[in-house]
Amino acid sequence: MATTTTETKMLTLCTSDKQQFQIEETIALQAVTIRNMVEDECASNVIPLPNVNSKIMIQIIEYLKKHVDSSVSKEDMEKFDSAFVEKKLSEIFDIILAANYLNIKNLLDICCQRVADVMKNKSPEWVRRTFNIVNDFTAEEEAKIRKEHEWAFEGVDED
Amino acid sequence: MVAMEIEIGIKIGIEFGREVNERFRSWLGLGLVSAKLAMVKKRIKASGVAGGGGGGGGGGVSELPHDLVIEVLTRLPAKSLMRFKCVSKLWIEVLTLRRPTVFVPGLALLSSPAITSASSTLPSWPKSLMASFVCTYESRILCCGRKFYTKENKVQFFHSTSLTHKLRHPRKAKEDNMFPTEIVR
Repeated sequence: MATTTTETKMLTLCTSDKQQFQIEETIALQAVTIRNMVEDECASNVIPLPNVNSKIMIQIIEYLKKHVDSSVSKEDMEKFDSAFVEKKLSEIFDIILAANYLNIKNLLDICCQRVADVMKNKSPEWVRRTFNIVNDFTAEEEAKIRKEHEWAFEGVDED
Repeated sequence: MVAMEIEIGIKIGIEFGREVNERFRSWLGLGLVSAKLAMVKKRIKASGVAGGGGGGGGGGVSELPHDLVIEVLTRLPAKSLMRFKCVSKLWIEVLTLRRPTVFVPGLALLSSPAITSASSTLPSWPKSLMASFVCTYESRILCCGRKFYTKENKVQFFHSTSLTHKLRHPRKAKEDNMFPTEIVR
């Protein structure tokens, strides 16, 4: 009965590339997937996260650490968020996948918003390249759709 | 005369309301509501999402599953969505209602409980109204856009997106000029 109340409970997360991360439980529990695991008591020792690699995990922990801190003002948090998403899109995609898997809603929100902000003024060709989408229209079909929505092609960024 | 117009207006309003309602349930594209999103998320979790570009590398670009692409699309303004219709067949499907929304449009006020039809004939609207529109149904914003055209005495809207998420971010929506003030008034 000598346990001190100040002792923080730690969780160990194991990423897809078998790296282990020790983080405070309060930080990790912001991820609903992890919280569910802990609540269901299937997280006795090491929590395996086969869908997240260590590179992404480091960034996600950085985000969670900031967001668990209730002393941070709303303004500072917004600043942190906007700086956090200043990354290459490929990296943002990875974070979106991980945030979706870990069920961290705010993180998913800011990353999806970031992608939307970047693609807002881009051309359909840019979108195809970025999202690995094959254009399955014939040239005529595409020309027709373009013509119908000609107004939407004003002010598109150069690729 | 006026009474008749109003009656027709109401009828059209009801008709459209029904159509919208039906569509609201069947709409798989951007009209997704949180229930759909929740379902989608479960599905992704069940199927397991590919974990990204591999351990040390970072060379490979991860592909977002379609459901997450839609998460992104719901955050785009109407104009971008119209432009992205020609990305692929799947995208145009997502970004288009099954049938074009054709009705004599009443201007749905943001606060109105349902779509109201203002007039039964092609109205001579002020130009400012021609520039943008918002459709609501049962206090929810269903779609909005910036442009529509008239065809065979009917008005066709360039609808864009369900704005369920915009409602959660009213500030952001305003920045995007999605709620045209002319209509709100």
